[in-house]
Amino acid sequence: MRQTHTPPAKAPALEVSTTLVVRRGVAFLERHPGVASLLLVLPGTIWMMLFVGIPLASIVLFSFWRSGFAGLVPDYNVENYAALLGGRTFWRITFWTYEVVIIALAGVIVLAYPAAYAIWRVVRDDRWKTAVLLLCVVPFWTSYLTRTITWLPMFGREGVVNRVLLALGVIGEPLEILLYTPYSMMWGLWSLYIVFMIGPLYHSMTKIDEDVMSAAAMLGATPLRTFFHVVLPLTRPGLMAGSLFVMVLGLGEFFTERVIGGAQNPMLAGLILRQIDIFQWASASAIAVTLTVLTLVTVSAMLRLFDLRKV
Amino acid sequence: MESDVRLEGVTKRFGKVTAVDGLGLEVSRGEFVSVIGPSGCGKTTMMRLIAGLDQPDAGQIWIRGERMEGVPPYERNIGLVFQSFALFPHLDVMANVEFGLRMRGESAQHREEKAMRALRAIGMENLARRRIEQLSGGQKQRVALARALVVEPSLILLDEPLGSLDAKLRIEMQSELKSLQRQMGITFIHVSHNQGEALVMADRIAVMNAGRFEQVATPTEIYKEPRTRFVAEFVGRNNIFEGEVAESRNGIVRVQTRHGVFAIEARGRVPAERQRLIFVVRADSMRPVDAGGPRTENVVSGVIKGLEYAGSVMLMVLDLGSDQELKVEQHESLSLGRAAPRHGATLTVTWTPADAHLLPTP
Amino acid sequence: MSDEETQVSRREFVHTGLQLGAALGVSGLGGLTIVGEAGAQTKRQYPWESLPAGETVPPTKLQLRTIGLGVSVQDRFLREFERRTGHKATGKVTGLTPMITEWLAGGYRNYDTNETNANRNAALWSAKLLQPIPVDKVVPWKSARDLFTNPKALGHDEVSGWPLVEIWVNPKTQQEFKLVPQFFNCDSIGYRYDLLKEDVTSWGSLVDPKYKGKVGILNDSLLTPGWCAGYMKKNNLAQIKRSDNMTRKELDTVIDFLIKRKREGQFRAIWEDYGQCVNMLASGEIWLADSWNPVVEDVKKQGVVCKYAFPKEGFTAWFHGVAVAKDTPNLQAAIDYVNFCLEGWWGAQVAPQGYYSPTTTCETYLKASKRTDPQGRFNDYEWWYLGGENEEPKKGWPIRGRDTGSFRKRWSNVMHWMVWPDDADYYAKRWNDFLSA
Repeated sequence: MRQTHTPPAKAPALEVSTTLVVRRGVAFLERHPGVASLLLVLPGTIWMMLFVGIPLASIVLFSFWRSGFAGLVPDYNVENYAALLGGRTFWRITFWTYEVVIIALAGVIVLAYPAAYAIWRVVRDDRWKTAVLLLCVVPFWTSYLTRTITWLPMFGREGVVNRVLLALGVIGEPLEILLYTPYSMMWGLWSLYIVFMIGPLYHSMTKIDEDVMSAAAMLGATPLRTFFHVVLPLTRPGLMAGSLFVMVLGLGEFFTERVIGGAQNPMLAGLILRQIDIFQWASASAIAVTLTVLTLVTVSAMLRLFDLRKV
Repeated sequence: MESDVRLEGVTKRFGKVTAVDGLGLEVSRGEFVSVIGPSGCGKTTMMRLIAGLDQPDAGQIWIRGERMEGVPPYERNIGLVFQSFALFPHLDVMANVEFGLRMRGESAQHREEKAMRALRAIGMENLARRRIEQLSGGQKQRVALARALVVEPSLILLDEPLGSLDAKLRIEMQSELKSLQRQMGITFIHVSHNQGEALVMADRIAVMNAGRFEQVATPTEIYKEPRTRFVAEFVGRNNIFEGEVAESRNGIVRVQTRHGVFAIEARGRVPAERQRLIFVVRADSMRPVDAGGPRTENVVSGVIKGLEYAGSVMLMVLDLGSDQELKVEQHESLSLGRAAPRHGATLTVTWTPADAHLLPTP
Repeated sequence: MSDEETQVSRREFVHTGLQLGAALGVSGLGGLTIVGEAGAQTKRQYPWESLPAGETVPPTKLQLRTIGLGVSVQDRFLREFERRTGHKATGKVTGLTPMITEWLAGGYRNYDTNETNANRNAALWSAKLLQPIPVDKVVPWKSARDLFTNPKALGHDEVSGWPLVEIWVNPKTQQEFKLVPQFFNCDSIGYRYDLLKEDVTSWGSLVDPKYKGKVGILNDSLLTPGWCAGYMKKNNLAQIKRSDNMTRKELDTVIDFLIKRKREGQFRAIWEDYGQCVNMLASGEIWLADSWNPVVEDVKKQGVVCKYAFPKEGFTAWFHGVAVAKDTPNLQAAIDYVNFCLEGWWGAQVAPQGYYSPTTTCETYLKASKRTDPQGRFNDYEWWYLGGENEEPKKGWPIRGRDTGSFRKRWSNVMHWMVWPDDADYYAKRWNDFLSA
């Protein structure tokens, strides 16, 4: 078969040379392990360069350019940063963004712990555990538009919550603070982010030895004290991982504020879109770079606080 | 004296499986009771029921005269030592030992004093600030024990406490545990599948099988006078024979088996002729004799098909034919002057009627 | 300014398109009535002209790749274009800014036409990504409305030169289009007449403390300060020369005024999205909002008493057009598409959404159809262009026809056009100040 396809004289020669090259190559790599490991990380590095490095570098570059009406002008200046960092609005929005993220994080922690604990201890059937965990992801399946609109029937003036409270006689007038107020966006943020906390917490909890939980009980710890003295400290890695997720997502958040918060208290990331809306790509880049730096600083500060690699 | 722990008809089912079935047991204060049995026999379930980690479906448990129904584990004042030790990985040695005292709201000073005393008792006062992951297995074992003891519990439960230690350490810890228990005078209930551990440490042994107690008695009784075939098979190294009573006379019962007629000391029992019964002869009661020697009774011969040296003791398995094996345990000194046994050789052994033990039930 | 059409209706259209496609497939297979080239020559002068139902023109080698809002880029429109011309048509639906941004970033090579808002088209034109279209190639333009040809027409703004200045390469000679007008309208205020119990007749209602906490405004750094400036100018509350294109000082005055109102709790919500505005008005979460005509029509469809205001200061006007890519290999298809949009059928299709067509050719179609009036008295032309029974703006409720009156009435009352301000960057900066105040 083979001979009919390739000239017999040429094929073995080709084979010899390939095997020779491969053998020599392997020998070379064995002598130079540094080169070998370099080759191993090369594909990943190229990937990262193409899809993270180059876009990021471009944004940094653009942030020092100027925006014309119809595109960027490579006219180097720091005006974008000066205008951004010099204005009081930027700092107000930055502090507000952190305030939102911290409140969101605190809420998510308070909500996620009992939820994760319940999935771990109360739900016994593995299939149900999976089902409940999947439920937490549901907000991500809904579309942009649905998420925009669903909060009205829930928290609106005529919404479910107000109707229930009115029916129960808790309030005499519909509450308006449930929607379109600075903190009302928390409904949305909590519902979106809680899964990022429940996941890592639940994972951390399942790593706790069942005997350790029993040991605490045998030593006189009530379930509540067991939670605070055993579960809480042992789930710190999960707490930390979840907090990182929420922090990074929160710092990049703007949409929820616009649709549930009434768009009256913009977040940092929203500024970027606003600039793009009016073709100010250079200043949009400057905000993006600033936000990236803030995020990196925050994340590294959090990692300093607690080293994830230790666990 | 009122018993410290009392079980009455304690039953627990998991689905269709009955894990423990009508357990009854009384343990006196300061007694060391070992519950032994093969894995899956229900001994861990029993321990969890006493601890309050699981609730019985039927029956009652009393501790120090108090009914435990509805009492959560954290109010039972029971110390539990786990096979896995179950130390708190986020706390150091001191904080582990202190944990129970902290939960009882004791002052920092009291806690420290008591914990240090406990650590001194186990010889670990210098390691108080060690992290758990830096401890050896034996050290973890001691910390787990100290942690359970420091709260002065009314009862200590030990779940295979030595199971994860190596053989040498296990033997050391056995005597340590026993002496600690004597010193403190606390009731210990110890659960293990290792009969050796139980024989060394326990005041009484409960042998468990399929969720029930087969026999509850002192180690000597269990060892020498097993009540059931299961106990005989599980504890010690016993040879079990089945047969029919041929003659019962002068305090000696003669039983006809497939391998001949054997004489057994009746010890007050007078079984009817032709009654089927089981008797047991311990492997270490076997004495080798020269074939064709003067003894004619209680003599069997078999081909050596298994040989094992265990220190100064030699273990042999003889094939008697008809699917019956005979275990022979022989001290080295007894084989002096004889040719070393080897595979395939024929060996003849004998035992006295006093060495044989009739099981009370067939 | 136009709406970013809801996804719900888009899905509907896709569905309709699929059905239409299936129908076409069946007729093609059956070989019923395929109009041959010779036949088309005799019956129809141009490929974009109407075609009897059931007939299909065989495919050409050309294709049309367009991008625009969900309002104008609809599957049913593209299928009709394909059926009439044989050019394969594909469309991408996106937002006002993204469609420009995508072109500026090099995406213009992937499209033949851009259906854009006139105030953003200058970005494409000045980046030299477009080609001018000679006026004689756009056949239906002979029926163009005055507004797009005559600087003396009702609604023309002499100061900004709008709309002519954005349509023509040279508005004087009017020989070449920069942007061929496609549809247009003007914005005002949507309000719940049943809750307010009175008619809104001024932009001032949006900042009237009487409606504190009941007002929604659009999150847009150009449009919202724009109407507010117009209101302040017309009512002599501030010295403002051009409400459509303010100086920094003028804008500061307007923003400071809005900030003061915001702090007093005037605004219940700042709306972001077409569907969101519909829902907030329909649910009574807000009682009035600066709004778009189709939003109000959609709220009415839910059986809610909602009206579109006729503000005494005037409407804010806008138009969308079709721009043709510089190097398109499908120039003839692009020109056919422009003609198709102005031929009349297309204009009649968007009328029930509240939009007007730049040519009067849609009248024939609208007069032949009575889809809107539930009592069947008015045809669609009478309803949407003449105002139904409301030649004049209609007070109270109920209304039959357009609540703001006839086309003539509306376009005699234009406050300003939505132009791109010279200092858009400063608008954005001050808008952020407003939002975060």
